Amino acid sequence: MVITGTRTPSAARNGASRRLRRRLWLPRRRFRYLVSAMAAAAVAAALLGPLIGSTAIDLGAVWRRPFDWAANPDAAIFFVARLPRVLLALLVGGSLALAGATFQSLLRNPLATPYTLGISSGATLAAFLALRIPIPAAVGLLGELTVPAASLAGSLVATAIVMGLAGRRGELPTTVLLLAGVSLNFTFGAFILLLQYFADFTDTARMVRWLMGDLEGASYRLLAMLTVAAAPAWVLLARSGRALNLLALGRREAAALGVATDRAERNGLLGAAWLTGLSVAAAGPVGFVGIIVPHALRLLGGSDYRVLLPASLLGGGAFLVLCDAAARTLLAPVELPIGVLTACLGGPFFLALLLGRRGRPGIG
Amino acid sequence: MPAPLLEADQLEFGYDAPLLRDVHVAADGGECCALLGANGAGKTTLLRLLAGVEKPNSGHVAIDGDNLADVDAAHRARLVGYLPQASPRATGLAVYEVVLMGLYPLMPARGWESLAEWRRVVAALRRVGGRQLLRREFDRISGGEQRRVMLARAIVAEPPVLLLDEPLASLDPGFALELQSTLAELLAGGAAIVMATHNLELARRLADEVVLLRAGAVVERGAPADVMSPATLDFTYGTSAFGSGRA
Repeated sequence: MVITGTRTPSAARNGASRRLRRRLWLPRRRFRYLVSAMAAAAVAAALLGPLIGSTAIDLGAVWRRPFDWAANPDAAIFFVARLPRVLLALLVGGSLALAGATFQSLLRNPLATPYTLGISSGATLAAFLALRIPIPAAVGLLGELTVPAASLAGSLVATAIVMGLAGRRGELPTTVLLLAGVSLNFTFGAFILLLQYFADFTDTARMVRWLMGDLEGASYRLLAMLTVAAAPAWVLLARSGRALNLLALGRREAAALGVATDRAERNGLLGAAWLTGLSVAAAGPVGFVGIIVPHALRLLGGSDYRVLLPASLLGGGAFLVLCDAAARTLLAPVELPIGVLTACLGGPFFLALLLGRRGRPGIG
Repeated sequence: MPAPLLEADQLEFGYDAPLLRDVHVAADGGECCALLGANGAGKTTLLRLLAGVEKPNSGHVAIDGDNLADVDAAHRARLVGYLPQASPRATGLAVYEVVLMGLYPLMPARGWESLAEWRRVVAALRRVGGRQLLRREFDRISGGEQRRVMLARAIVAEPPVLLLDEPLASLDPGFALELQSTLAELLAGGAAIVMATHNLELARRLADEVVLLRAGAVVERGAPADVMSPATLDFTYGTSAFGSGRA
């Protein structure tokens, strides 16, 4: 740097600061841009999502008072049929994307998804058991929530098994976790097939439908419960970016740079598993969101988890709302299962991002 | 006499078989201790224990009077800069992001780094001759360049104790020489350095004390000129190549 006679050193220093700021795409700025963009996308999705569907609705009529569903079909479609579903997509998509990004760091594997550790298989097996063998007392107590409750219990059992298998002296070795998860997936998968094989026609159809992911069960009661249950995990994970940055590089790296690794790993795994279990309980094992959204955001804004985690939470929600809107309209009046749509839309979109990036110089 | 800046005493470590037995290491500010030994002798394990990354089965490590077993991870990280043996892979990060991690222990738990921190990142990279790497992708630079970046990360927070695992590995000879003077500067600045190395020349030039390890136990310790004799080296490395006349 040449300091000319007319410039004071402090002016030169400011100039250097500006240059440095321009040259480096600082994580703080990435956070500002990407998280604002994803927040805007999530809000837009929540507002516009309910307007989209097989029946056109009159937005003016929706707000006409008094709110009387029978007399005002527009309001009924908006508030009863669509809004809860859109909000559920927002919560589930965000939770799955956040959980996926967390697992990618903790398992040090870019291919990790919320379902890698067998959590969703446990949830599915339990949900199928509840479908096949409804315990009258439980059904009486839980009503429509019997299957979701069973599913959540199944995911917790799966998490306990996988962490118990891998846990040794408080550590959770990545390879053992991954292999335990894969074995668990296969084991549960076998029982799931067995249940399907012995199920009658109706039950089989319900099971297949469940596997494809389903936002139909949305209700304000479910949304409230889901939000209350998931919020602590959102906050916990979205704030653990620095630890996950280091843990993604390795346990020893993280320990050397000040992370209390045992606690951070356990909290991260439990938080991500809890969000996965809740999401699967509420909407079935919707695939793809948990891997595609974090990776798309990595391509846009780098791999700093302090940016990636909050962006995934917001972007995942917006993405699933978009998929759901497509699922409701593409073949209207037929509604496609959401899980089919996420893969149909997500796959090509991600490939396009990937190809667009090829040959471009790195972030910065 | 006050306790040295870094002191490890009676360290024992092992999973099933013992990897380290009754090891003592000490280095005061401005001193360099070099760990020598054959592959598998326990140098890297010892550095991990000193960094607090692994916990000893018995014995203790104290830095600046703090027993590592009693301090939390964040405090420990402020005391120690650690250059691991292997560079991380598939990070997806830019070089400046990797170096910044070295400052995490100094930053408040929440909030973003300021421009002052980024200036320190640039300065640390410049110090290891890696200024031009600043904006490159860490995963796409060469192995030697990655070592420089990792070294910048270890020194960026200017910790009182530096633990370097093979600081010269994969470096070109020109930079290896430059790095020796950088390390000498750090020592002159009051840092304590413990390094594991296979480079005997580096140990002779830089170390105030060398610790010769064989199968997890200390063979000999002392000033390089006193202990790095052909006979001790032959015994340490299990060879006769240094010319002691015995196998």
